[in-house]
Amino acid sequence: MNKAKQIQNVNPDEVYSYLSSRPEGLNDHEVEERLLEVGKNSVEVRDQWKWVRSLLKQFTNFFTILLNVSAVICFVADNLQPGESMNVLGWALLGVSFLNALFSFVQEYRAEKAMEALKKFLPPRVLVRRNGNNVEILAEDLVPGDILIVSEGDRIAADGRLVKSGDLVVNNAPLTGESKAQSLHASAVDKRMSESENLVFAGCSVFKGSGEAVIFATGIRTEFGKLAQLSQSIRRSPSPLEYETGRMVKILTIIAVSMGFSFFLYGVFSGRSLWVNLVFMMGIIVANVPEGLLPTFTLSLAIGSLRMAKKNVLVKELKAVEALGAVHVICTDKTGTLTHNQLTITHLGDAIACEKLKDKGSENFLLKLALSASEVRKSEKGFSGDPLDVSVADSYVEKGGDFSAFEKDIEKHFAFDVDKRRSAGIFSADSQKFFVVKGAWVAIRPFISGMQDNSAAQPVKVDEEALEKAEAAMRKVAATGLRVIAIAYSILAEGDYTDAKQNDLEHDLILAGFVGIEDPIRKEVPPAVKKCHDAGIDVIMITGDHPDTALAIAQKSGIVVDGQNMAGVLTGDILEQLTQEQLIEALGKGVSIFARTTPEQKMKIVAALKAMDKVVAMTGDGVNDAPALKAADVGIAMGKKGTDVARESAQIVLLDDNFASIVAGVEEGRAIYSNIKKFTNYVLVSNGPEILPYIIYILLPVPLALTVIQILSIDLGTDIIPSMGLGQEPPDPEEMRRPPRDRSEGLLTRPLIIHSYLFLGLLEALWSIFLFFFVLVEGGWEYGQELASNNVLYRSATGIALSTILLMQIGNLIGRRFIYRSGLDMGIFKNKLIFFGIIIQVVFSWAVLYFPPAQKVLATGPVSIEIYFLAWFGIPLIFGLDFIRKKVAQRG
Amino acid sequence: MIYLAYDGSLNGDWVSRYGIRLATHTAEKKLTLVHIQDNSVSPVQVVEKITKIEQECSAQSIELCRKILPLKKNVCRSLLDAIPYGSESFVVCGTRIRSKRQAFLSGTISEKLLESDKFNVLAVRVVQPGLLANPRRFLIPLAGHPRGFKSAWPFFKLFLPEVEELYLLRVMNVSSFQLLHFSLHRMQELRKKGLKYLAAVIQDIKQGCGADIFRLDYRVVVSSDWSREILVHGCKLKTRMILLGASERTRLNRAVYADSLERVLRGTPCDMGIYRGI
Repeated sequence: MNKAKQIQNVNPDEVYSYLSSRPEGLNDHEVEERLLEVGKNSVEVRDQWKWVRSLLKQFTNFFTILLNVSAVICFVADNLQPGESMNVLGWALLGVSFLNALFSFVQEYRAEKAMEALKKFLPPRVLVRRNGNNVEILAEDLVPGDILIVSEGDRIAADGRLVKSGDLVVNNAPLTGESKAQSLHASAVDKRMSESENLVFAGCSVFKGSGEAVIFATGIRTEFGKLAQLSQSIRRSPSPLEYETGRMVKILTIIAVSMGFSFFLYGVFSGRSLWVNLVFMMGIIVANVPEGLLPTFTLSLAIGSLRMAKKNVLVKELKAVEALGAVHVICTDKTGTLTHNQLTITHLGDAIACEKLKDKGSENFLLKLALSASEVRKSEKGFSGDPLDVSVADSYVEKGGDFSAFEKDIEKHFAFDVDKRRSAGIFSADSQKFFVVKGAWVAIRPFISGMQDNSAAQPVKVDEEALEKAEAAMRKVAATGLRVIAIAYSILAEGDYTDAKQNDLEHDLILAGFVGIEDPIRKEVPPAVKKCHDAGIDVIMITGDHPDTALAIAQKSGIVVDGQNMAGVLTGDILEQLTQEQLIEALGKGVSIFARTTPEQKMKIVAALKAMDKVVAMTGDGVNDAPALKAADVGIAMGKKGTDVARESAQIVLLDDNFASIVAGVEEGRAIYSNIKKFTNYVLVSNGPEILPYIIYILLPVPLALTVIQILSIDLGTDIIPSMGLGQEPPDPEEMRRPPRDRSEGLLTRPLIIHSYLFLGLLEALWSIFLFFFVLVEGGWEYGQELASNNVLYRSATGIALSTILLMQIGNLIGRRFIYRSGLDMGIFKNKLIFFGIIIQVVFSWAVLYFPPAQKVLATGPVSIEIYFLAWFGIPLIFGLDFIRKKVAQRG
Repeated sequence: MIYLAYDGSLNGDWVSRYGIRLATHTAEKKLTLVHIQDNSVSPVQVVEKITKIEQECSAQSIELCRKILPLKKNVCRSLLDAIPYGSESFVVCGTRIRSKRQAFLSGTISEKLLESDKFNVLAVRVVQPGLLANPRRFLIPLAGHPRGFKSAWPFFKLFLPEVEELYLLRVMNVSSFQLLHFSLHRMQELRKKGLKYLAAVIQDIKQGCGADIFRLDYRVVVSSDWSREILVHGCKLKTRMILLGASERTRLNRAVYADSLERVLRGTPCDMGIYRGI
């Protein structure tokens, strides 16, 4: 220990001086001055411009900027030459850009509710001593140096150093994640701040007793305030999908702008009018940008989140839907997630060989001892308290014990100490006083000097060899998956033990026996773990339990194979000493069980995995998990046992706390990514027939086959529903037999670009342009002849070009459902959106030619029915040629 | 010699403990407290508070030398006139206790002292007054300067006897555009580069402090937002003090850097020291 002191290291009488206070409290002047300087005791950092900034940020991505610039060009063009409906196009583009931004903003806004949940942990009013009087004040008026008075049931409003404690027991779960009662005292301790028993922390609550503390930190300076502030200030890293869409959008934008600008310059130098060049540039940009893609992404993720909700996976941030599908590692808790968290005592073992007790008397005595060191409350609904303590009480009653009668014999209770890993109690029976300690074997072993021998009248003395034997027997039981707790006692001399200290009594204990507790594994877990392994996902279990118990549960769950030794297990003590590099090495060697860990160590494991370039899903339930849940690739909170803060900070909430639901979510996430790839492929195909007419138009003296408004009718109209249909395709069973996708591959791969633009896109382009010229030539057009935009022949020709693209998109749509299968084999009626999408394409392909209102808006005209049938031929053409490609590729 | 720029506020009291702490690790065992009478706090109160600081100093066998000086042109000028220039002088001062227009350092006297380049300056933001200026667990982010740890060393040396854990963080800063386009291989290369840099730094530290006197660990991350990484790591590693170097680059760079620096100061989960040596 260093000489220099922190506030927990100083004596209670020195505390006042260090914190510029005095036993009678601060005076009004001091309070006013400190309040002015330090500010209110509030964990909320008010940032009135936060949401405005957030909204504006949504307009800064490439895609939105491009859409907005295009809209401005449209308005300018409309000003230069009115009557071409360019302003309609401008408004449409602005609308798309605004909707995109609004979608993202709403998502971000919904995710920021953690602060509201955090505020609930702080009390509105507190009792303090000021000017020598105890007064109740608003908690936000607390200042450093105030004397805070707390008693049973209070929530603590700021961090303070105890100067008086009357058996004060607190619950520090919001900060530590361990929902255990901790006894506090006012004496100086030689420990770290977070481990000190003489400090009270904001956000925690008083379980029982009373105390006085001098406040040393208020507001965001408290440990709780720092958690709150971090939860607000940490921005989540972009999800893998965001990276990939960002990359895709940038590439498409660069292609669109450079192509548009190059041809604009070509047009200028070849002597075309500015208006023609502007329209042309707009056309190229609009044709290149799949305007409907981003809204379809969002809709597809939203549909995916609905499907996940049916599997008990509540998605709070849409991007997490897909991120879950990209995970390489799932770090999971044991209790409640892999197991039911329903503890049952199934083994009452003797002290010598941990063998099952045979007579009822011995069982009753052991349970009585265990119960005296447990803290439970009885109500109409049954026992409440720590699950372990409840299981002791349940077992005691089950074996015929009278809880209410025994409760009266318990004189004192020493709450469970997380660091000591044991609790204790004093009770009287048969005019004797028993001091009992209950806890982890390693925590009790140093104090044992004797053992209960049920075959002898008196306990036997023990030596190191006997202790070794007892430990080996205990480990054997633990290795069957039971959590084993040791029970030891001593008989106290007559006297008053009201103010007795646990440390003073812990010596010369007699080992009474062991209690084995089972927490059954959820039946869905082993198949879910197997599914993970088949899908190339590693499962890592992090638990506070004994290594033997942890290993047994891991074996039963299938996380490790049966018969695996302790090489795959790392305990918290060792983990604490490892550097990140050493931990990475251990993980590389296959460590997948972390036992005897603290909730804090979870962060260390996750950080090491991330440094190994793994996408990590992390589960959490405590308030202290909030920043980590926000910083994780995928933060998963527990819906049942989790706190509101954890739930609000996570992207995903497991409604049933079940590990199997995470795996169901992963499967769904993978399906969604696969579907996103499908509809990206689908949407990009129509870019081919949209771009080619512009290139031909600028290079040759021919009319433009497709106008800008017609392009938009595809991108923002007819392509949306089929894309959503593809986004709703069910998971492919093969999806969970493939390893996680290669992150370096990206969404917009070279094969996808070639397939979309140069194969299917080119096919659509060639067939639609062929029919365009066929109609023109049939109508008497001659090469080089210019046609006005309202020319009847021109309108019919552009109409058939548009209609052909719409129909060919049906063949493209069906083909996109599978990589190698035809797509028809699955039936087009099973996916209602795909069926509906096909109907829309058919109806629209007819309407643009023969329905006057559609003709008017899109500036199209009718063609003969024979030519319309030729357009239909495009469907088998594109579908058939693509199917041949699939078969060739499959053989290759 | 340690100089404490003291303003008489509660924050000043908290910062003064850092002055005392650092003075205990100097050969002279002496702390010079410089207070400029700008009437923001009543002179009587200042004297009372300084007496208390003196008591704390004597409890730690530190000699306190008071310099209560009249205000000249402004507080900063007065401080610059009162403190001897040179690398032997270490000035401890505080950032704002509460942010003003989201800023803790910008526009303060501490910022001007940091920019003055006349002596070594450590501007402290005290987030955990209960530590009594004894943080023990440090996070030192390194920006990849060729001088390595050399600029942090004079300051870290003053904390050294009480350091229990030191974490070094090297953020390989890339633009968000690059981050989106870098392949995993490129990322790994960058990380290796960072590790190589840290290996050299660790060797320097071990040479300077002797091996294994405290626990030393390190992290390398590739990120487009170094300030976020510092905050995240400060939280994850439960560090009690972040020691961050003030920019030594051009004024334009400093202006850009200042915004991120303020972001770290605003969000810091622990005490934070901004240092600049000469």
